[in-house]
Amino acid sequence: MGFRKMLVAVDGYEPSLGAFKKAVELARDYQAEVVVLQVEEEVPLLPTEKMMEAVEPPITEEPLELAKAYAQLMNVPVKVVKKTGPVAGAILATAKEENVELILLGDSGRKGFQKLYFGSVAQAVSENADRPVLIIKRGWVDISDLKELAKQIVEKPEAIEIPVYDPRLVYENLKFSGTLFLVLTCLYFFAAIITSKPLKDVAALEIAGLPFGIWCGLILVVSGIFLTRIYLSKQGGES
Amino acid sequence: MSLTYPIAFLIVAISVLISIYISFYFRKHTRTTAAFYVAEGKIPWRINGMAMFGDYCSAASFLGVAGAISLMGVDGWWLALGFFATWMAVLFLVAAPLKNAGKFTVGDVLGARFGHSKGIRTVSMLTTIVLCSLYLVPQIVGAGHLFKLLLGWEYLTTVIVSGVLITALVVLGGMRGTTFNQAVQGVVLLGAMLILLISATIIYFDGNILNIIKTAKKMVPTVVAAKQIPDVVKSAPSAEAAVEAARQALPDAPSALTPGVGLRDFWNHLSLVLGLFIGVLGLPHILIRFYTVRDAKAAQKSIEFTIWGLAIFYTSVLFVGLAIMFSLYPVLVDLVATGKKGIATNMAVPMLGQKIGGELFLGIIAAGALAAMLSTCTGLLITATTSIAHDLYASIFKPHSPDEERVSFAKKAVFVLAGISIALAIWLKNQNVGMLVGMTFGIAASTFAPALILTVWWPRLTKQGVVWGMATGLVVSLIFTFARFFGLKSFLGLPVLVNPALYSVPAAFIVFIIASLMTKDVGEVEKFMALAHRKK
Repeated sequence: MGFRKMLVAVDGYEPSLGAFKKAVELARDYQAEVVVLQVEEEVPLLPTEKMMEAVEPPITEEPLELAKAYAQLMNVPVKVVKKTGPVAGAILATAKEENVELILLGDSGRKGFQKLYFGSVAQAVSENADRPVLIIKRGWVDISDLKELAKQIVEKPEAIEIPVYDPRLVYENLKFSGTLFLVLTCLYFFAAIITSKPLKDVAALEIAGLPFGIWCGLILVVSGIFLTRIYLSKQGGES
Repeated sequence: MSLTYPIAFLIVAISVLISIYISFYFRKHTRTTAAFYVAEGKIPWRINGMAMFGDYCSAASFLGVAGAISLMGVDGWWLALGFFATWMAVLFLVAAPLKNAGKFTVGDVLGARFGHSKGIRTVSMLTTIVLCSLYLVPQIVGAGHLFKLLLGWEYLTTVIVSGVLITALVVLGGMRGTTFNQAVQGVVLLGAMLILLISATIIYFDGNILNIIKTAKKMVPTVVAAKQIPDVVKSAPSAEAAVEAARQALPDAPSALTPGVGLRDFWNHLSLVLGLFIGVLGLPHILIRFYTVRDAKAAQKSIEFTIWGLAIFYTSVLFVGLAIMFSLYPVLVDLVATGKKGIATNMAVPMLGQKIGGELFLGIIAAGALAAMLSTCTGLLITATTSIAHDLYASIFKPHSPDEERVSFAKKAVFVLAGISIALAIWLKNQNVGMLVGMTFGIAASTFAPALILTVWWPRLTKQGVVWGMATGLVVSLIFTFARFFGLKSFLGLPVLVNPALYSVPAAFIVFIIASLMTKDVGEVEKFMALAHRKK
């Protein structure tokens, strides 16, 4: 009995690439197909938070590209999948969708505080999976060839297309943002000046039970919500 | 040493532990939960919106604004309106171009347009450190007063202990899961404010919020009563009687809704509102939050979420402040009359909590206040750490150092920075925390704010313009801030105002513009402008 289809989850760090290499080795032995999955976590993190989380630099920023290149070298059929969401959940869901017979995972080897904080994906998957799970311990597989390959794959410079500089566009944007800002500025400084000492009698004038100055403040708050909505709808309409 | 309010203290301690636990839980949850749902982007934008709110509402908003209103009436609300409006100024003026350019910190934006300029980096780093340490001061002053109230220790002791503890908590543990922590703290502080509003309305105003306004029209503002008739108020048998007695003794005095009580003159007022209005544009820790979520839709939703939160919060604050003036009238008048304005202005909110629901409520409100301080301190310290690691250590000291070394150096430096803030907090204990934050806004308005606005919108801005403009703004605003702290009436022939902005903002803008017109290095202006203002 062998495995016809396996799933391995990769994230660009050493442990998961060890598991990937093991998957490729098994696939060669069993003539199996490997599904390589990368899950992007959807958590709002600040850049510094990310910097502090990463203990070591990743071996590659593009694990799926590396996986494709390595599999081609080894002559093993692979399918790459990219998902977003909770890591363990995405692995389990993909395993079901692809109907794989084995899930391979790397074990980060995090201990103590680190493990408490990050939890263990390998553990979570093996606890909740309905099919066999193989956990490859950190350092068990020698991945120096993968590291070499990662260096060779010249990282594609990020394809940020630099649009043509168009001063009219800057002017157009300035007109829109500037108008909203101007309206806000007028409302704000009107309310501010009316409540200053020389004009405080105007601000104290009572309209419908409230001094004019307080009305100005309330109007500022309400129009703030409106202005924000106008701004967001324009932004949303464009994207 | 015995605790004055052990139960309240316990509630505060538990709330801190819960918020740490939740931030841990969430981080782990996003990795190891077995459920995979396609509720795309929903959780991130809510969390991000709440974190944005928690980060933005500091001790100044939670304690300072309501405290100021409880002493001088509606004039104190100005701080809140300023805090509210300035957030939108950021949104309209710089949020979209920065998002287009993919740059979220002032340093990154300047770097993107002007490359790696040592001059710009040095000025930015100095400004970041000044802003972060000065913005920490009001948070620590707030914490000092709060723990003095809860524990009954001396202010000096509580300021040192709470300052060190907050820094340690943030630097050693709290920087992990910042976003989740801030989100939880946002919920706690908005919740605490609403609980106060609802319960005060039910207990003192027959459940009708408009009665707060009606009552406020009769009240003589606390500061006026404390100055003229402290004994009349003191001898009244109840808060309600004291309010009546004050009005009878001073029939022509302004009311709590009369504008002008807390203002000195036109120029002071203008300086304050100007500083508040463009200040947040220059606060490095606010911008970064706008786009922590990935897609545009989620970013928009979190912005909308935040603006509603801010609108509700800053409107509630007005009513809560007036309710405090009414229900604690004799206490506040006495505190102000006996020279304990620092306690009155900063501790009015927790005192109302205590009056309404005893130690239990005091604990809840104190937890809210501490949440406000912690979330803001976290945001500030994480920004300071980034800047020190990135702009000081990596760019100036040791360009080839590994990340770990940079972060560890930055963490130590942050302790030094916090030490300076604690020393300042000891010195400035009688200042309203809201006014202190206003001063920081004034400094930001004179440095990063013009740098950012001009970089994004003015193609003719040059590298030298940025360096000299920011340096001028920093020096002028610092001089007038410290002149104020030292109690000087005038400096260089100019009257010292409540906020440095009136002098430093125009000075900075003028130098930015003149120095730019005199020099030529506009950086990679075409590339930057094309990115920042592209069609989506």
